Amino acid sequence: MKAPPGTSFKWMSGKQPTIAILTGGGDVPGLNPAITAITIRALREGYRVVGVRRGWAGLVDYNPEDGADNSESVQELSEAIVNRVGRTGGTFLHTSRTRPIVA
Amino acid sequence: MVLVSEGGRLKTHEGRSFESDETDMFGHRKLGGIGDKVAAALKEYSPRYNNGRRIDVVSQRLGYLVRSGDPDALDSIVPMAFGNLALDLILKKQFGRLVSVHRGFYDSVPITSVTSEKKVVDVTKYYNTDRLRPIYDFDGAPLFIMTSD
Repeated sequence: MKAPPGTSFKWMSGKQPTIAILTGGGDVPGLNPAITAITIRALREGYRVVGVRRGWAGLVDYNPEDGADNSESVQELSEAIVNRVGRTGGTFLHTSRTRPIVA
Repeated sequence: MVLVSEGGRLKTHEGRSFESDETDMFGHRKLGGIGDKVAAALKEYSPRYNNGRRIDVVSQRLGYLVRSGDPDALDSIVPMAFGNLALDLILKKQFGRLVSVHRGFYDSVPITSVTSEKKVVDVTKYYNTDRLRPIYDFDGAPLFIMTSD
């Protein structure tokens, strides 16, 4: 469930603390269950949770301009979204071999 | 059934087997293709041991079939604990740490323990290299042996 194109994404929303989740390196069967666990717990502790898509590539490609379409780089996470993937392997946020220091 | 690990070397070939010459941003080439070479060799040498007839060999590259396979019970329980342990660290404002299993117990270690050096499997500790088999010595060992140094 990506943000609609053109939707302006904000890392910070008011005073609510935000946790970002990024999956890098190789896939493993337990990665989605880990994302699911930390997302649900963080939401219930009052955090906002953001998923960074495609590993470090999501942060490297992120466009900070107002109104930029960052739906390929970041997405808001909800219990409904992560509950759908908790029983599947790999990472639904995707991963990449991007090395941020070089990129 | 023959299982071949990526990175394995054939004595008759130079070096390891790679998918292509292409490298990623870390300068690493993607390992792959050793299974096809072993399959071809099995087929080639099989007549010597099969009354002169070649055997059929089917090679299947596992790769992401395994890595992104559905989680089993352990794959669900441990990450559930890891996710909660990670959030506990955030709540305690302890940053720069990595959740882990240490000697069979949940724990956390400084993140530098994985970023400071390249982690490789201690082959002499875990494998009988003469028989090409793991060392089956589990008495008193933790559940997650490879991660418990």
